[in-house]
Amino acid sequence: MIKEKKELSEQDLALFEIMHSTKDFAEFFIPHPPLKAHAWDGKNCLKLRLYQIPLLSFEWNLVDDPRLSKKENFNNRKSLGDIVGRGGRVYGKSMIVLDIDNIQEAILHDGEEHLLIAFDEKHLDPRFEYLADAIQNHKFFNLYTLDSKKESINRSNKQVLLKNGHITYGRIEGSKSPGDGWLGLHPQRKSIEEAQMISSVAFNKQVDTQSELGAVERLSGVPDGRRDTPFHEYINDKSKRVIWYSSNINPYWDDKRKKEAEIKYGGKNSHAYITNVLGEEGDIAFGAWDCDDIRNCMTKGSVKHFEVNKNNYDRFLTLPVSILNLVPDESSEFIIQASDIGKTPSEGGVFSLQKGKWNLLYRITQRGLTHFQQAKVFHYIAHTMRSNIIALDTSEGLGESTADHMINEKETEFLNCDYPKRVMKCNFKTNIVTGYLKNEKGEIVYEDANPVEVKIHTDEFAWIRGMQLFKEQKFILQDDIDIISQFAAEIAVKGQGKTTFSSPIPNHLISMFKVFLLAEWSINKDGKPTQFNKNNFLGCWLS
Amino acid sequence: MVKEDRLEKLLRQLTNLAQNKDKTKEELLSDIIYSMWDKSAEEDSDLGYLLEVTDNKDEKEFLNKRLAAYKNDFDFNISTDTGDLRVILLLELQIRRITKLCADRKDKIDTNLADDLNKYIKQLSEVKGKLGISKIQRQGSQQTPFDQLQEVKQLAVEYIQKHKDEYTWKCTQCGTIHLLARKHSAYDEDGGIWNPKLIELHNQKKLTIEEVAEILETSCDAIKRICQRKGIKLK
Repeated sequence: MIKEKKELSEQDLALFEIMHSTKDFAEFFIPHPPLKAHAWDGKNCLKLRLYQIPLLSFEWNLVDDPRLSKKENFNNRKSLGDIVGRGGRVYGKSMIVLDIDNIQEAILHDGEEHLLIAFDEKHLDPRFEYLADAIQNHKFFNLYTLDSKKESINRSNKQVLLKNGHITYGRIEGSKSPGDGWLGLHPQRKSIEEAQMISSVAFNKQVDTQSELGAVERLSGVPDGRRDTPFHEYINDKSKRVIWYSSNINPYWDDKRKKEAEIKYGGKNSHAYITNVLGEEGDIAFGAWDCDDIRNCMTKGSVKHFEVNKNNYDRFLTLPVSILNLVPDESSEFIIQASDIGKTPSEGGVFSLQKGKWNLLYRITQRGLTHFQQAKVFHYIAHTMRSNIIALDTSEGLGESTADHMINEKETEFLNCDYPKRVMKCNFKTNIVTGYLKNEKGEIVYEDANPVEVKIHTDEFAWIRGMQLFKEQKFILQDDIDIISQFAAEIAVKGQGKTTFSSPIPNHLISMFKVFLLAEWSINKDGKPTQFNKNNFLGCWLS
Repeated sequence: MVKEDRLEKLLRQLTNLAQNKDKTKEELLSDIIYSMWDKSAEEDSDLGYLLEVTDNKDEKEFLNKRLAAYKNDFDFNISTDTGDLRVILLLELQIRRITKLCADRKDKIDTNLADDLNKYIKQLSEVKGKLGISKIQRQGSQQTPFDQLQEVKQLAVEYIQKHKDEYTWKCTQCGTIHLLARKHSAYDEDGGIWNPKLIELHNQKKLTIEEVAEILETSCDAIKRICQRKGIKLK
């Protein structure tokens, strides 16, 4: 029988050589950002910077040694592939540690499983989409897709299945039962995006999620100061290959960018700057909120979320069927309408008291509205929902002017609304008087005939109050991933006599909750908002 | 269309609202219909309404076929691409009308019509180019897998020739090629990229700090920070 003579041509060898050398793979197959996969022409490609090279995986240069056992060969591969990319933001961590590696893994490891983990969809989507786009549109990688591209890439289940049998699973921690998404999988490779955000419960579930030989682990993250997280253990484990860069390693880092970062993170000595720019662990921090307590308050369903912005504001006012389709809660005992106000979206919520529990009925986001327009929206909500208290964050100028506009007695639009008594100003930049100092006998201590006030920073007080209410399960929250992810990401650092809070992601929802918590605290036992009328008690938020 | 029972329910709800107390039933009804119509147009995920540009049966059939072809060949983003798709369909319809007119007149071709035809074809190619669905842009995806692979292989050969021996590390003792070691003198233990010889050249005033940063592909700030940590004074 005559057999076709098959020899590797020079062209084949060149292609294999590139595919198995990580640096060449990146510099030949990956188009120069921001070009996307479909624009690849083999010429205008990514050029790795010197400092990025150690972040790559070098396992592709190895072939299995026939003298060694399967396990020994895998261990060799693992030692060249494992990495913990730690450091400040924007130096290419995720792209090198995850994005390029995910593609190379998919096309070179036939029949294997790869688990791509992130805390939530916002963090998983960019990583998954980079892989999906490359497999779908790249001139070379799309040769690996099944006959139908739709079968290869399943965006709703976050799976990429290739002709060579390789499958990539994208999984998030999840809000209800953290880490259940990756139970039952046996991947040979695990990649974790923003690893510092993964909770211990979820992380422990992925320890056994691996093939019988083990799994190559590739982590990317920014230390947040917490010492009780698995990521902290990883970055301090001397046996791991940890690469640590600060944000200033990026050649585009200059004085202007440095100043911007200082403003953004609240000064170069702030905890947020030390962690997010320098990549250091900073002072001992801890997760500000107990997410298990928050999860215990959650029920099935999703909270109704409306957005009023510049484009739909006119419709909001002119139509009887407003875009804010609010229905008054007849069973409510008390309604608190709380809002964080800022230049970035103002996040608001309507809380209804039902049988001793606060139910978050609506979330209302306002974007790009003036203080006058925001006041009108608050008025509409207060009127429709019959809110007892309208609590507004007045830490910034915009919030202050919105509240002033509402309580202005000369303002004809808000006549007979009794807003001076219903609108509560919450300033998180000052201290709050929570009571009077008492001696051992329980008597109030006086100094110069005045009772000695007990003061605490307003932000910290709202946090303590919140922890207490979540612990007592005084909330009914719909299963909302935004809520869980924002609460899980907030970090607290104790120092200089107060607790400061920071978050790597926008935390407007938490600010809104804190405004609510102050308003809730001001209600007396009869369910009436009397406390905030006492100037000496809550002087900080009364002008 | 708004169902009657739903309409009545809405009317009842709205009449009770304080802001509507001065409005008549007719005014409320017209407002409701306007708002419902507005919403339904926005939320319409079916592209069928794109066909409502003509009443002619023949032309409707033509548009239907073209729309089906586009829907079959491409994934359109309902929220962002339908406007462009509508323009494409309109232009195709205009081109069809003009071609038909020309065909009816047989030998005599009106120059104005020819100019219009030219204009519409040009506009059509521009819109298609914007959406990335022109013939030239699609040629890449029309290649057979074999052609695609051959092209990639050819590019790979060019790449290898251009980067010959660029990434080969050889042991100075035995001459065998070895892999990049975990620890490398160029990489600082605490993060950052490092080359003492370049700092020396800078201190001898042969290189500026900006040039050192450029060679190491990093920022001046990063170089200064490493030197500070290592206790090296920059001149």
